[in-house]
Amino acid sequence: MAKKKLTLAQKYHIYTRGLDWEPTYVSKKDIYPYAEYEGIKIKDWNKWEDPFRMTVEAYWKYQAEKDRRFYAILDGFIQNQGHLTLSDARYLNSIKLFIQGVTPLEYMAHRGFAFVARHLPGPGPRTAAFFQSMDELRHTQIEVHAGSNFNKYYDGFHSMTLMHDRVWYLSVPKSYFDDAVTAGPFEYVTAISFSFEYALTNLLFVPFMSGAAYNGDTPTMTFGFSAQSDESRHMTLGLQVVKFLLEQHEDNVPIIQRWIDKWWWRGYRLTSLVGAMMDYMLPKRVMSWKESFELYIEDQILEGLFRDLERYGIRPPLHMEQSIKEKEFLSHDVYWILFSFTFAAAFHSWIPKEEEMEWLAEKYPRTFNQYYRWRYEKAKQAKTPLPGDRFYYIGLPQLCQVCQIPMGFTDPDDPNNFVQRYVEYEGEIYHFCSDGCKWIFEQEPEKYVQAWLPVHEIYKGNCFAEPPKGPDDVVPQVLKWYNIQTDNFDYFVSEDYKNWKEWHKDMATVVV
Amino acid sequence: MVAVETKRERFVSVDLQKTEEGYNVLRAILKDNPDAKVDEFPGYYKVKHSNKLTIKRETVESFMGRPWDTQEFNLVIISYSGNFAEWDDEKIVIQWDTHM
Ligand SMILES: [Fe+2]
Ligand SMILES: [Fe+2]
Repeated sequence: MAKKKLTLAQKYHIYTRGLDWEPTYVSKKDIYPYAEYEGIKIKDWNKWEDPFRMTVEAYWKYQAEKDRRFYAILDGFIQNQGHLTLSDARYLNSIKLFIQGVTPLEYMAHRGFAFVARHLPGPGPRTAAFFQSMDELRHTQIEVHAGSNFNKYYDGFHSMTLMHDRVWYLSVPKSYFDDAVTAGPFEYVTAISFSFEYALTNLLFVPFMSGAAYNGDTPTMTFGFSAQSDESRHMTLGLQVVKFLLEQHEDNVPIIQRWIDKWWWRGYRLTSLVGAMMDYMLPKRVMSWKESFELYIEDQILEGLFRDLERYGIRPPLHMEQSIKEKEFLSHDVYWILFSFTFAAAFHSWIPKEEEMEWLAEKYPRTFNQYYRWRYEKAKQAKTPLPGDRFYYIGLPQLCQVCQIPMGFTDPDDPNNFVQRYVEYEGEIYHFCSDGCKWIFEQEPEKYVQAWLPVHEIYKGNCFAEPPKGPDDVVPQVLKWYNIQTDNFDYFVSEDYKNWKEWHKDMATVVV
Repeated sequence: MVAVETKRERFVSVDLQKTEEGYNVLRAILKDNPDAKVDEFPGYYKVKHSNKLTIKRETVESFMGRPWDTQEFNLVIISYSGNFAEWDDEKIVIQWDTHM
């Protein structure tokens, strides 16, 4: 008699739960020491159901195919000198931010999910976390491979891991993920799988990657979509974990709500960098930050997801209203910060061209001309002794104690002012960019007083390659410690721009 | 003070790669879900439905001209909004738990 083929559901059951066993001579508590201290109560791990029903066998098969497709595209791009057909070399500055800021987080996610895959007491979520841990390692690899091709020709790609640990703006993503991996396994999953992956990564991996495609960068589009296709599985893990925890015990509800409140704002502040990349750093634009926010957050998350969570007693994140209010300000504030401090950054910035300012004014009719355009008009006039013939903010900014972004966020209720909040804790004053960051600090002050703030560390003398010989030598010694070489300053005085013109001089149309 | 403008819409959706396979899956979805709407962006399609999207193995196979395992959906999906309410050998269903 011929054997009957197993259905997807049977296969999944056999290969996940079927491979689990009850320990006999070691207690469960000793095997899973982190399972209880966060206060989460689980009655029955068998209630867990993974809709993707992924087994190890299927996992290898489809992941290998995704990799084959990616490397075929990357090879074609390299062989064709694809970098020369990008819309403009300015575009690559957004990819520098991605490689320096996001790729190291992929690696941290790999480590974080390895921890979760070891420490969750249920075989279903353990299997899903194990796959995700391998996915994240794959994401790191394909992003490094795509970036290494650009590193042959452009600044800013040469030192991502060292920069991630040291450079001021990269402490924003770094501290975000460090915050997550130092939490317990359930908070970690709520933070990364649910708040970040279900709610926020769409903004980074869908409209931004579509922008990469539009600017001629097929490898980035391909790694982006390839990573995001794994992300669909991760989103499901996040959603399932949260629903499962909510169903298991009513005592879990307020804990989960607090984590959602915290991690919405943490992730949202982090994603503000993507807003600046989308609105200012893509020479050809697909969608504005505001449009992406409306589609992927207001429609899909608020109107979709949170309606579904109402019946568990979960409401939308505490500071969501503020994010909605900020949608016409956020990307402008963040690009202005990046622009002002480009003398100490491993990417270039520039004054938007007239037609780009018009696009910004059209997409942001109530804010761009009113609050931002004049800054760039003035920036053209204000000369500093630094290369680039334009304004830089000569000095170091005050940073938010939680998100670590310089305190330059416009108050939507009073748009001629920046938001400034502070808390006194054990005799010290701590500053915050927003009510959201202040609230997060107040929940766990003993955690956030330990923050490694790049500006404070410079003043403490911890960020010099060699002791500065005088006041003029302070920034150069910091840059040396950052391993920033010719990667900083305005785009139009950069090696990137010089090379780009040189490579295109025989072409009929010189780009830029 | 700047007034907050919001436009809200409740839908389920799936974002698909703009590839040959992605296109075949898209055609199958449009055939089986006549009210679905497609938005096109560089590199991807976004298929939306106010309520529910069903992807059927048989229909995809008829457009592909070859056998197609529902798990191959992993190769064309970029992202989604909703829940995977069902995913078996015959079909995949995306919808929210709470219907309005
Ligand atoms: Fe990832
Ligand atoms: Fe902050």
